[in-house]
Amino acid sequence: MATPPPPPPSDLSISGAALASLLHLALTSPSDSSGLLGGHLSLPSSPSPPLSDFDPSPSVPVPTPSDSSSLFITHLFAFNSPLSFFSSLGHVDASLVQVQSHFPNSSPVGWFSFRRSSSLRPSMRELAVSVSLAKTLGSNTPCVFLLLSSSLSPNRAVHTHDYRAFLLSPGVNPVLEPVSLRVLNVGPSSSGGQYGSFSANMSALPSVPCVIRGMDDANAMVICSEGEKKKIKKEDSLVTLKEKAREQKVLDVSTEGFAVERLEKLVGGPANAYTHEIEELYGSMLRKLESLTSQVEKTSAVVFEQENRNLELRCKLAGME
Amino acid sequence: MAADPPLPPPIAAQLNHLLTYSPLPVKVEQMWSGCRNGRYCDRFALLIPFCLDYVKWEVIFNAYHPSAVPDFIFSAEDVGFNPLLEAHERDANVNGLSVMSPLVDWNYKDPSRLLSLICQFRDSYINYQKKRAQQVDDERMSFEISTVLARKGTEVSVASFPDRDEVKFAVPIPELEFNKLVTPCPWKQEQKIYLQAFFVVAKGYAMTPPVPRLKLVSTQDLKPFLNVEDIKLAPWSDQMCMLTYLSDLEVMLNDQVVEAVAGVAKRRRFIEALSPFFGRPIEADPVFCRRASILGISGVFSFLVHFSIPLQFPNKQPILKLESTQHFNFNGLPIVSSPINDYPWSPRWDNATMAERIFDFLVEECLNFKKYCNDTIPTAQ
Repeated sequence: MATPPPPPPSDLSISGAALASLLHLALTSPSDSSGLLGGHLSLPSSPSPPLSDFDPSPSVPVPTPSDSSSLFITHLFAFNSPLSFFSSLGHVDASLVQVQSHFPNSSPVGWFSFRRSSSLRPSMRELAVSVSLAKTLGSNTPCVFLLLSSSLSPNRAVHTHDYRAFLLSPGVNPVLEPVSLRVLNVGPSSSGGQYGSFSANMSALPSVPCVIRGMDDANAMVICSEGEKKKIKKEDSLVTLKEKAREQKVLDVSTEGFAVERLEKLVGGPANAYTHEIEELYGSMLRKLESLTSQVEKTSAVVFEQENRNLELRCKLAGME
Repeated sequence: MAADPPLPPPIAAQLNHLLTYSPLPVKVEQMWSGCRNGRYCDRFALLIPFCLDYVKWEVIFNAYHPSAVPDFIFSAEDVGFNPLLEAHERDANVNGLSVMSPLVDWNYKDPSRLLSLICQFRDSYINYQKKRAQQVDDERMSFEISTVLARKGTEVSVASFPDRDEVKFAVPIPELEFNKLVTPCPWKQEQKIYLQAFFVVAKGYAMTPPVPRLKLVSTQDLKPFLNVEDIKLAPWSDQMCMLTYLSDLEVMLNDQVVEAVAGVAKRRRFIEALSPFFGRPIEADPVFCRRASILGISGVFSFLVHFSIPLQFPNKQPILKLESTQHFNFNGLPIVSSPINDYPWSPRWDNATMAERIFDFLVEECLNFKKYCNDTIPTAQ
């Protein structure tokens, strides 16, 4: 049974952090780029509660619960090539969208495109991609298209960043309708808890599983005692155990000197005697931070060099020398 | 202003091929860079000839991925125009060969791809405007559109305003094959004459059917052969429709073209008649015979005489200009007389008489010119 598509969301908003991250991406990318947007659609029945810390004064616009839904953009996933999740004809690769859009606590709601110094109108391919993406997302989700552009003044002193949001209005002649985009920042107008829900998800670190030592060993013992039948499984678990041990070692290095027992001494009556201990802890924390920053700096430099090398190779491939 | 950074070679090859081999005169309006470092240009605005006007399309390449297919931004009024979506729909219906072949198998090493892409987009744009024209709500317009649009090569464009629609037709006049009439053919592109009809259709109830503003437009290179601005158009009457008007116009234009061809022959004979008196022309326009230059000598004073022969020759006399070979102004340029067209002339004279009378006139005029040169020459010498 076909249900009529829901009305388009009346309110479109983006967290300030997500927009800032988008603009940063635009500023740093060597040429055009595009990617997916994640967010959530709040239905009319569940208006978000306003912050209680602020007195709602009449001059501050407070989002009022309305009849239609509102859409909130929280995540983005950028691709680093011009034809990323779509083909030159504007066909969206559905499997790529599914794989790349595992945003925590949200679902893909649209996409963005950044092209430097060009008209702030959807291009031919952008409309085609939006139509195709809307088909992939299904009729219950609206399809947002965020177009970003930036330009330089002739003396390169002023950078202008522009953005415009569009909603796809489906039909026989699909059109991207420009809509206003509200930027949510921390403040009286922000509704509860939305600001903090941003995560850039641009360079996801491998997840390091957190295990409590001892408990895992006990499990392994149990498996061992169950005999030959589970030999294969045991070998499997040995591999995973080794893996976990290695990861644990990495974790141990970064938590060195912060044993729980040592921290326990800081709580309670005798804590006064341990101010020296606190200072030492603080000092080692700073040292640790310093070594971390130098590590980040080094790796960033390596990444930057590699990107430049890639760029040169691409240029050579295209005969631009 | 600093010069634009260069295009990456693969993109430059595409653009050069487009500009050189396009059957229609495509122009580049602007070119700029979309890279962070601005080292290469990779986007440009093209002016595509359409309906005796131009439409502006932005072509977006990517300098860092020059092998990627370009994207297009069409003009702001053409929101409904998207050849890619049309292709998607057709693909879904026909299920087989894709219509957008230059996009599907884009090969940046083949410089002809951009040209074929633009040609295809232009064809779909013509169809898009035709569809829009058919939606104009006016009985008279619908009739004109249904009859005129069937003619080959007709283009129509619609501009919508809140209170009115403006419909513009560009109807090529067929059977005027200039490229065959004039030998040797001097034109690279096919020359055409168009009738431009401009209708303003008021929305809502209108008492009178719309009356078009009519104008003849020709391709630019046709001017030295036939100037359409000199041709008077018959007035439009209420009972007319464009089809009947066009058939009358065709007959009239055919006569004009025959006359223009005869005009070339007349001018050629006149230039030939000059040589017994002036010697062989040192320079002459061999195709349209609109220009000839001869060298005259009077005593020790030698000078050039430039003849520019009007299209209405012999009813209008040639315009003469004298240029000294011995006197130069401050800028080092030769001194030239003002155009002379008030010497004795009769269209009824034969060519030899014309040449002889001009010779007689110049014998006296060159003395005046010599005096003029001596007077205006910088006194420092």
